[in-house]
Amino acid sequence: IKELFDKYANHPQDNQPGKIGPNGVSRLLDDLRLDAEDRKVLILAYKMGAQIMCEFSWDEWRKGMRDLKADSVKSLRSRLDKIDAGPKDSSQFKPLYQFAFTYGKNAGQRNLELSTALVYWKILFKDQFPLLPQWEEFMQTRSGKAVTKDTWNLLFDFATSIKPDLSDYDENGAWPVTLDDFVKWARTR
Amino acid sequence: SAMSRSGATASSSGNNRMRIRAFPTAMDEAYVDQTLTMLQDAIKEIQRKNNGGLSFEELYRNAYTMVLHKHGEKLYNALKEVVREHLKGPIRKRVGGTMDDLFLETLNVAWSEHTTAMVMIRDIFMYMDRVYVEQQKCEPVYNLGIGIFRDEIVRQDRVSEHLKKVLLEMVAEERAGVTIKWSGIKSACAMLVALGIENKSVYEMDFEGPFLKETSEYYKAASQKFLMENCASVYVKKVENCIAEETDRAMRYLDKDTKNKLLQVLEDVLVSQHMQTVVDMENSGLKAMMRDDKIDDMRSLYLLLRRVNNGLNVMTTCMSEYLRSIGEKLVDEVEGVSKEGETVDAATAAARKDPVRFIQELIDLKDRFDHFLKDAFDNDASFKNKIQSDFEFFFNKNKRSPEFLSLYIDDKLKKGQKCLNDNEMESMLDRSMVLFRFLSEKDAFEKYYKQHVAKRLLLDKSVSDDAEKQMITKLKTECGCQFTQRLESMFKDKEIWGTLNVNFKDYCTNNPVGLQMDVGVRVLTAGIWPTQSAAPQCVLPDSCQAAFDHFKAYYTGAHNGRKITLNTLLGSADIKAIFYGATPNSDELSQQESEAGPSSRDTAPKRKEEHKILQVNTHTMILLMRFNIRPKFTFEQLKTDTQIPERDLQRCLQSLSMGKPTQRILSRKGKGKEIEDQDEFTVNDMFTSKLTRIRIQNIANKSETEPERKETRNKIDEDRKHEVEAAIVRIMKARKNLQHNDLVVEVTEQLQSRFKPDPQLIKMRIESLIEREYIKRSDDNHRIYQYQA
Repeated sequence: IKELFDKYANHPQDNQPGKIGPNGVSRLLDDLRLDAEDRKVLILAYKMGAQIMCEFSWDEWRKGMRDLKADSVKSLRSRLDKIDAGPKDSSQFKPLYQFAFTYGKNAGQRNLELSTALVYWKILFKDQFPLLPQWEEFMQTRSGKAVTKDTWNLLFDFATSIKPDLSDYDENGAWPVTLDDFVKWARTR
Repeated sequence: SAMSRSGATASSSGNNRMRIRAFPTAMDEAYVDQTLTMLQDAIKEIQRKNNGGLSFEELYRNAYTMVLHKHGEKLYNALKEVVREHLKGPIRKRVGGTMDDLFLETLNVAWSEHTTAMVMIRDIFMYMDRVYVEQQKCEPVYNLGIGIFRDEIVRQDRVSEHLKKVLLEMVAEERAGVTIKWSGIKSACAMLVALGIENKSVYEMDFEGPFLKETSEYYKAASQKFLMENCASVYVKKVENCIAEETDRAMRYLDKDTKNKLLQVLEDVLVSQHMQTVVDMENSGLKAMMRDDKIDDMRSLYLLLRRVNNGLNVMTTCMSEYLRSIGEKLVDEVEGVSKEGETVDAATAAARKDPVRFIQELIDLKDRFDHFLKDAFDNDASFKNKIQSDFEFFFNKNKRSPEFLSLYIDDKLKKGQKCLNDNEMESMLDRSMVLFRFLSEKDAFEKYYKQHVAKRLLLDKSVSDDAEKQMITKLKTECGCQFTQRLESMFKDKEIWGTLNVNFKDYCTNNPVGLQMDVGVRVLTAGIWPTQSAAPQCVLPDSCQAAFDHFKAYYTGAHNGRKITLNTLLGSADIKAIFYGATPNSDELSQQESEAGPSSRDTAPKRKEEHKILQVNTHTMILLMRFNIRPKFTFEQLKTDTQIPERDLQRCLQSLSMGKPTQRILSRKGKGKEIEDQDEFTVNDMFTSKLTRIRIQNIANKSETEPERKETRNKIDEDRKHEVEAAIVRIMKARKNLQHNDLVVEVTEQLQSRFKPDPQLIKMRIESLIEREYIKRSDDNHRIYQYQA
C-alpha cells in the first residue's frame, strides 16, 4: 500500500509534503477511471476518513485501503464499485451522507455553503432522489443561506421515506422548517 | 249444631255462638257439597251487602275444614264460580245498562262494592290462601276476585272503551274550564290500577296511554295558537300556567306515576318543540329581552328551558351570538393594527374610538352580562363559561388589546383625572383584572404596563402610590412574582429619589461649583426600566454638562463602583425665555417696511419684552439653548450641533414651530409639510401668552404610533423566542427524551399563562437549539429529541 501511496504523494506541483495533494488525487482518479464528481470518490474519502478535500494523508490512505481490503488500483476500483449501492442501502449510505457534510464544509464554520451542498447532493443522490431537481431549485430561492447540519441530515430521511407526490408529509411533524417550506413551495407548483 | 249438618237451608239468623263440635275424621261427599253450598250462599249474601247476620268464625272454620280435608280444589272452584256468576249476572247488567251520565258512578260503585266484598271473602278463605293457593301456585283469593271483575265487567260490552271515552271527555271539559266531578275519575283510575294486579298495565293501556296522547294533541294545537298570538314572555307564562294546571290535575286524581309522564309530554310539546322559535322570536325573544334588560322575562325563560334536554344550549347559543355581535362591533370601532400599506384618512382616524373608552365599554358590557348571569340565569355554569369564551374571542381579535388595557389603567392611575375613592379604585382595578384574564397575549400587556408605569413614575403623574401597589399585588397574585419583579424594583428606585436629591443638595452646598441651575436627579437602575435600547448621547449645553458632571462626582463618590450615564430621553427642564418683541433688524420686517414706505419704520409696533418660563423636555431644552449662540439655525445645523436623533428633533421642532399658536416659540422658514434639512429656524420674538409658565407639549399620541408599535412588537417577539427556548430546555432536561409532538404540547402548556406560542415558532427554536447542541435528534428516530448535557 505504501508503494501505491508514494506513487501519488508529493506530486511536484502540489505543496503538501508527505501527502497526496490535489494533483496527485487527480492522477489517482485518472488511474481509477473515476470522474471527480463520481460518488465513489466520496466513498473513498469517507472510508479514509479524509479531513480535507483533495488531500489524503498517509494515515488516511492506510486506513482506507485496509477498510476496503484493497492493495492495488485494480482492487480499489472493484471494491468501490461493489459498495456503491446508493440511498437504498441505508446502513452504508447514511454514514457516507452524513460524512459528506463535515467533509464539504469549511472547518471554521458551523454550516455548509449552499453551492457545495448542491454539488454534493447531486453526487450523492444521482438520480435516485426524484425530487432533487425541485429541491435544488427551491434552495436557490433562499438567498444563498447556508445549510444546517440538521437540515442536511434530515434530507436523507426525507428522500428515503416521503412519497414523491408529498402526500404523506406531515407539516406538524418533526421535520426542520426548511423542509416544511420546501414542501409548501413544491405543492404550489 | 244449628248451622252444621241438618238441612239445606241453614238458618243463619243472629247465631254467633262458638260451637265446639267433635272433629270429623272424614268428610263425605254430601257433607262437602253442603258446606260448599253454604259457603257460596254466604258469599252471595256478602255480595248483596247482607253480611250482617253471618258468623265469620263459622265460615272461616268451614273453609278451613275443607282445605284440611284436601278439598281445596273444590273450594277454590266453588268460590270462583259464585263470584263469577254474581258479576256476570246482576252486575254486568247494571253496568252495561247505563251508558249515560250515570255510567261512571255506576261502575265506580260496582267496583267499590266488589272490593269490599272481596276483602271479606279473602278473610274467610285465608287458610285456603295460605295453604292451598301456596301449594298450587294459583291466584290468591283477592286477586282472583279482581281478575274476574276485570274479565267479566271491564273487558265486556265495550265497558273499557266507554270508560275511556267518558274519562277523557271529562278531562277535556275541565281543561275547557268546566267544573267536573273529578272524584269519579280518581276512583276509576284507582280501579284500573288495581285491575292490573302486579303492574299498572291495565291502567296504562285503558287510560293513561290514551290520556297522554290526547294531552299531547291538545297542547300541540294550543301551543301553535299561543305562538301566533303572543310574544315570547307571554308564551312562557302561558306554558308555566299549563304546567301548573296539569300538575295539579295529576295530583288530584291521577295515579302518582302519571304525573312525571304527563310533565314529560308537556315539556316536549310546549317547550322542546318550540324553544328555538321562542328564543329567536323577533322583537320579543331572548335578544330583545337582553337588549331591554327584561330580567324577569329572561329568568322565566331560563327556568322553563332548563327543564328540557338541550334547552339551555339553545339559550346560550343565542346569547353568545348577541354578545359576540356587540363585542365585535366595539372591537372594530377602536383603532386596530393597520395592515401593510393601509393609509387611514383623517376622518376615519378621528372616528376611531379612543382606547380608554373602548375598555370602559367592555367593562360595562361585562358588568351587564354578569348582572344577567346572576339575576336571570341563576349563575348557571354553562352560561358563565359561554360568556367567558365570547369575551376571550372578541377581546383578542384586536391585536392591540393588551396595549389598550394598559392605557385604560394608566388613565385611571394618572393625576388629573376624576378622583376615585378607595372602593371605586379597588373596583376599577378588579374589573381591569377581569379583562386581563381574557387576554391571550399577557406578555404583551406586561411590556406595555411597564412602559406606562415608568412614564407615570418619571413624570410624577401617579395619583396614588397605594393604588399602584394594589395593582401590582393583583398582578402578582394572578401571574406570579416574575411578572411584577421589575415593577417592584422601579418603585424601590423611586422611593430613594427624595433622599438622593436632599443629599445632593447638601453636597452642592458643601462643594459649591457655581452651578447655573437647580438640578433634580432621578437615578434609574439599568435593565429595570423600559427604555430604548440605546439612549442617544446628545451634546449638552455647557452649563448642563457641568451640572451633570458635578452630580456624577457626588454619586460615584458615594457609591463606589457604580457608573451613571445621562438619559436625555426622560428628563425635563424649566428654562427662562425672553421674547424681545419686534426687532428692526429682521429681514422680513425690513422688507415690509420698505414696501410701506420709509415713514412706517418709526411707526412699526414695538412690543414690550416678555419673560416666560418654558417647561420642556431635555431635547427641546438642548435645541432651544442653541439659540443663545446665534439667532438662526437650519435643521441640518441643529442636527449636527445637538446630536439629537433626527425623528425626535423633528418632533420637537414641529411642536415649537408648527403646532398650536400658544406654544409657537420658534418661527420656521420652510416649504414642505415635513421639516427638511434646509429649513431655517429663528426665535419667535413676537411670541405672546397670557400665561407666565408655559408647558410645551410634544405632539405625542397617547397610544403608540405605528413605528413604535412595530418596535414593541419586535421586542415582544424577541422575548418570546427566549421564553420558548427556556421552556424547551427545561422540559428536555427533565424528560431526557421526548417525541416532537409531545414536546410541542408541553411547551404550549407551560407558556399558556403568558401567550400562545405558534408551533412553527417552537419548531424554529428547537432547530436553533439543535444547532447550538443543547438537544439532538435520536439516531434511530428523527422524531425523538434527546437532551444533551
